[in-house]
Amino acid sequence: MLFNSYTFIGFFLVVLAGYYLTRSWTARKGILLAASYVFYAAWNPPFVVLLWFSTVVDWLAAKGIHSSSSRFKRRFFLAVSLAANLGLLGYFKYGGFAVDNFLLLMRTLGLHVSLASPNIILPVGISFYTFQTMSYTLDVYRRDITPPDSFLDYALYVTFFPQLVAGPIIRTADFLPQCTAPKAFSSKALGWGLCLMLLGLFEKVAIADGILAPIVEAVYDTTDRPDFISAWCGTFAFAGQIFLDFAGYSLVAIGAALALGFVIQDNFRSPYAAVGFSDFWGRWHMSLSSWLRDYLYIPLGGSRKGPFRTLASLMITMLLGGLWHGAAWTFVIWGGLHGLYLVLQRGITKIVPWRFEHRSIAQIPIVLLTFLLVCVAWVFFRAHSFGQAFDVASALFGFGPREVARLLKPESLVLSVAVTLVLLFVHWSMRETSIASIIARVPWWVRSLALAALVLGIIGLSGEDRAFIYFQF
Amino acid sequence: MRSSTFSFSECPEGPWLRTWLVAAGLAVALLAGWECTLRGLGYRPTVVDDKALWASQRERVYRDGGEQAVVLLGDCRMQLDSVPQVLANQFPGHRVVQLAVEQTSPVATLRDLAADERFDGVVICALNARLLCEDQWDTQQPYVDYYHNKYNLNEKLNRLLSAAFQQRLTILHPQLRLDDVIVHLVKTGRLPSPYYIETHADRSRLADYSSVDIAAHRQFTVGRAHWLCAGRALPTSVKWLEDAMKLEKWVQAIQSRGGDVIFMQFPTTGEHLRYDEYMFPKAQYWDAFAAKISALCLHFKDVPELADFACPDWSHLDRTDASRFTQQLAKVLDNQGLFSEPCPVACEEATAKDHECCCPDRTKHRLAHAQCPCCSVSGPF
Repeated sequence: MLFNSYTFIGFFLVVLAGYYLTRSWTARKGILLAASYVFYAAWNPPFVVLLWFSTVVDWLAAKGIHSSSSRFKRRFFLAVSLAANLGLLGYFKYGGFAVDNFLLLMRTLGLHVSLASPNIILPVGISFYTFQTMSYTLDVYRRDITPPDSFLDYALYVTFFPQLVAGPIIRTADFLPQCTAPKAFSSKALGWGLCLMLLGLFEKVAIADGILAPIVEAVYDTTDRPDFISAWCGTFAFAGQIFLDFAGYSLVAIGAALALGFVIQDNFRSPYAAVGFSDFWGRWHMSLSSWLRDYLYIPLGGSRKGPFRTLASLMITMLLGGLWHGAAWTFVIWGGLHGLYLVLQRGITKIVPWRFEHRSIAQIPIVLLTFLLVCVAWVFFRAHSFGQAFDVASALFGFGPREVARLLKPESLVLSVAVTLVLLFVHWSMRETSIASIIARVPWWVRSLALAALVLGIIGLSGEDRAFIYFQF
Repeated sequence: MRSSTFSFSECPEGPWLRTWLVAAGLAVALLAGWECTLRGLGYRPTVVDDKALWASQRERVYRDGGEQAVVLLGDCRMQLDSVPQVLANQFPGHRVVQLAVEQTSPVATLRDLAADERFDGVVICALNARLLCEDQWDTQQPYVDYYHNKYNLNEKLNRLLSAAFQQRLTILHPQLRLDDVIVHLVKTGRLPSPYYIETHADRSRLADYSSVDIAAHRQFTVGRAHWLCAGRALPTSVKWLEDAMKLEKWVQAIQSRGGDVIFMQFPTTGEHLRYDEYMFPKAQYWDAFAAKISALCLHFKDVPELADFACPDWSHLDRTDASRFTQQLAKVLDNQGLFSEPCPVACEEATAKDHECCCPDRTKHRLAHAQCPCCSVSGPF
């Protein structure tokens, strides 16, 4: 069920009413759990079984880890959990990719292998909920948390519908304590939660889908090679589209949870105002980057085992982070580019004693350079193939063919540049603040005007219905 | 750095009920004003014709309560030139389903219906020689794939609600997005003209050419026809016919279940007709196909009742002619015995000339290409 659909509006209102009209806290959590399964089944009902499988395996594995005193048993239960989750992810997400690459390798070696490429449907959100359940067993293994007594609370943690299919990836320590005490109705939380939902829908429906998606498609969904200007404007448009699509989804998720009395962590903090790439990854898809930091980068050695090991850990983390986004080498290259940026930044900051912490006008060139390099990496994220990625990248650096027709109309060029400049300005202005603190200073009638404008924007600018980009991951 | 939403304490204080009520009232008032303005300027609501709307019709092709489906396949001509409601009125006891998709070949949908064991309806398939070129066959496949792989109760409900709003509210018209209207206003100093095509929830479409720039439309349709053929390696007429005859097995599959298939070429006129004839001469392409395939084939030029309709843009009929064309089409099909009323006479009383035999369920079968299930006389008659 898409957030930007009529069925979700009806679904959410029914859940909200049922949730607040029910007195028993256990029953209310039961309503949320049942609603979450309905929400997930709306895509493909049989895949709910996978969700149950992941939930039950990790529940039992964590119990096993917690109750075992021997290291062998604890490792055994952890291995079961990791194998189950990574096995699900590996089969459904990377099965076809692995077979295709195996066949390609065999052909390259001159060997004939007859193997049909499996036609596997990717269950929506599998990358998110497997990471979430894995973090639970890993936290129990590390003795960071104690498994909860309530299976209902744990199942709700895995399945909570606002963030189930595209995050933010939540941690047990953040969510489970919220399940213990009943949530009293709060008009403040409901009012603000609905505001965030409307803002998120505006970002997604009006700007990402309505304005930017057609510009991006004109450049990336064609076999024609782009010219210099179209390549840059199409890529700027994609930078805006993917941010507004995903940040919009996250805002709806956070707002829906808040309306139900639950707090979910932020997923984005003005990432295009980042000063350098460490800063960018502290602001972009924060729930994933912190997951990768805690469960991959640090276990690989982090920055504790010398400079070479640090750089290797960074690179491996970013390459796997890229692969997490999709089963294609273009995503690996995207991750690799970000890994390279991080490595180079570490090198440069060792040589140049530049301090990035304090906001100043002098940071603007670095912010712009960071944004441009992020855009170059987005080319590999968006392109359908290496060939197309290299065509667009060549055009970005002025190496494209000279005699090509401009892919974008003048109004598309203007829109792309205008939205990009507005986005950069907003991110720069909001680097150290938040939407909530801005809204807190605004009189109620201005909030009403803004909300009405968002509704007008959603209805007046909506284009073709599109799924959220991150659903495919 | 601070989190914008991480704790309840950060939720802005304020009179949220009042804020939301005023916002809702304001939004409704502004949208109502915009709606009235658009209607006053002559705009009308339209339904967005997407894969979900197509799927909502695709699921109606099965016999229900004795009603046999009449499925309309093709491209934009089938959608603009035929009126499903007129056909339904002409043929009581049948449900008419519009599955044509603009700028696509219907072959993928025909193939899908043939493979569907539950389908036993009558297919009226608008085709031309270009759409029968094998490289065009899969252009409707994304619609077929969506129906089989993604269309579910949630999609259906959402599409139903979308259509309900879209057919009532002009502000949801996809040609009237605010940014497009503003760009048009800035460029030309006036609002865009009302869009000439109206789509309904049953996927029927009507085109009103009374207020459009006909010369520009003619130039566009002929230019487009040229663009669709230019740069493509078109098959020879022999290869084309060899490929086209692959449809025979799908026709037979549908006929074997009691259904039928009729191929039709819809009217084009003027330069468009001349271009079609130049690229795909009727004698070498359509006539050769019609002579070999077991389905009934009707070319508008060969049917006097359909031959004299004028296409304002040389490619499609105006809404004022679409109903009359559909009535004529229904008459022609009725004359072929496709949609006859229950048989008034017993099988043994039927003559060879008008062999319309009664089956035990007293449903009259068209026997042009089949064997009479009652008296075992073979067609065609």
